[in-house]
Amino acid sequence: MKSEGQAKAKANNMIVEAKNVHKSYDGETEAVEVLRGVDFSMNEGELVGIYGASGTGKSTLLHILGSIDVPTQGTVALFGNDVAAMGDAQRAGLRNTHVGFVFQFYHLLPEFTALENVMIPCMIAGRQPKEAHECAAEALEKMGLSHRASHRPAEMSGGERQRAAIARAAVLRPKLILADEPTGNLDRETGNKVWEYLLRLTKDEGMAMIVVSHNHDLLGDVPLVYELKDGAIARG
Amino acid sequence: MSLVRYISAHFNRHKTLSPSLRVMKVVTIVGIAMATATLIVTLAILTGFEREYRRTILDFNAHLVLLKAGETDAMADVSDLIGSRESIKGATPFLYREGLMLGGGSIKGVIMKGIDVATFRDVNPMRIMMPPDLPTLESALPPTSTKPYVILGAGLAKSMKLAVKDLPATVRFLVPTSAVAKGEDKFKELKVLGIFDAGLYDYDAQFALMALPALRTLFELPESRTTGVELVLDDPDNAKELAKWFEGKLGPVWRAVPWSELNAEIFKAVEMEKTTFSLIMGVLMVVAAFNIIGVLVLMILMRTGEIAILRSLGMTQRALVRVFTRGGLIIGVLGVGIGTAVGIGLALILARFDIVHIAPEIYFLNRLPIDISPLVCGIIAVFCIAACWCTSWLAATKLARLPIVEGLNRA
Repeated sequence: MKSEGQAKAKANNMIVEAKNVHKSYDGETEAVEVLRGVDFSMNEGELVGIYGASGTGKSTLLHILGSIDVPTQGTVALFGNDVAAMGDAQRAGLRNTHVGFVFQFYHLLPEFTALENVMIPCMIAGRQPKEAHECAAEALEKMGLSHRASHRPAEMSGGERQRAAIARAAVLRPKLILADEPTGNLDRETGNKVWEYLLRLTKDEGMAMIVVSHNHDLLGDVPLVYELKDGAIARG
Repeated sequence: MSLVRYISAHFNRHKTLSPSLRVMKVVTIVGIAMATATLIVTLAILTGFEREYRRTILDFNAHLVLLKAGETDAMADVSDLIGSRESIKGATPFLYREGLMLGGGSIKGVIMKGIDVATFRDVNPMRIMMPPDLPTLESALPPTSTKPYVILGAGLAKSMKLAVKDLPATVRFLVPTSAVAKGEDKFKELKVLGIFDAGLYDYDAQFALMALPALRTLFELPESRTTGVELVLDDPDNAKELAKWFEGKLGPVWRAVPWSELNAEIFKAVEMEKTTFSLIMGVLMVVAAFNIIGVLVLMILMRTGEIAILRSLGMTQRALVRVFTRGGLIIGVLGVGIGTAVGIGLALILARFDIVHIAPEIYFLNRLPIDISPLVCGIIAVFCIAACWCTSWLAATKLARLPIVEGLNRA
């Protein structure tokens, strides 16, 4: 039976909704409040950018929206499900099938090849290795990385690593991609290429994407940009 | 291949580990192997003791002893009952008397066991060594003869400074005062015609065998006097049940004592030793298994980044716990496998070669007994692996709960 939240979310096509989200960390003398009552929502297929200077809590907000961190106060609903009310297995399942992360530092598993890295989400989803292998190979091909399938991250360039990370995030065709400074660790030219790959992929697959960046120029193509400043979010 | 096996195979591959972790892993495997091997050897020895005591006691004492108060002709009373039970494979009457034996410059307290030579071998298979001119027990102890011929236990013969090559020989025997008529010489001369080896020092050092008529004559007892009847059964483990049956049939004048009660102290002592050693070695095993925690802690701390990445991709804590528990279990299975092989190998060497000498005066046996039971080895292996699994699971459960964001920051 679907919950009221799920029904409402479906009706509105709302995939993420954060209400009055606060996040603070214990400092040496007093608590440091990074997010101060953030309200945020987005619908299926939308492309949203969040801009802000370093240390303003952009990554923290992205982690909270992606259910890998919890707010100190406030609620987050992912696809109509209250994240705080879900158990670890439910949250993990939601992340696996509905959310794809792209990190600034790629976060590929160093002992696995590019293909194996992309296979992992498929195997977590319960697919057999052969099927996972096929899906991963297809995802790498879309990223133009077929020739690097058997290479480990250490044997690949920064741009290739990030494209492998994008392939991993998108292999299960999630409804939402969360990209945290996806070009932050790349030179301008490579960064632009990676950004193009990411934009084309989400557009082709109809995925929603939240991109967090301190680089306002990168978000030029993004129709809806928010600015995170002093712990609060506002239309940029 | 399941996800857990897939990830675990990568994470636990020896060459992907850091040098310090490799050393720790090897040390842990060696520790578990040593504990397992020690447990197997210890239990093989203790089970060997138990088996040897049981075998020797059963050889010397028969499986069930029927004792009659007043020492009248016991055999006549029970022969019909014995004949009615097919499970009884042999029966022989016996008589016990005590005295002092003098010989070879020493004096020893001795239990004289009067035996019915015609039926004794039906019940008692122990080794008896006699001079070449006396090939059978009957030739050494003629069944109806009242001549004071005696066969000594190996330990007793040694005290009397006698060996088989010295036989026949004479020893002196001091009969208790009440057993001889007034004015008669209390010292009797006995002719030693054989030496038996029961295998248990306690028996070999204390007992001497005589034909029943000869012992009765020595102690001036009536012709029918016997202490009781020894029985051998087709299955010694049925002795208790049969003892109850005999006591029910024979009434309160009789007592039926199964072999396990006759030597209850020895078996209790062995059982207690076995339990104590199993506990001590079991604790040693658990301590060795706890080393796995160290390896897993290091392994997990070195992989916090990868753990966080996997969790962000949707892997559950439960699956991660299984990945690392599997890693610990592999260490445990390797250690236990090596330990079991080493333990069985050591036990076989100890059984084959007389490396460890034990004092028969203390342990009653003159050779270290070894009994390698596949069942016991199996139980030990299962216990050790279970201990390794438990410690691995405990460590993995605690450590896989690190916050994802913290792990990502370390990646």
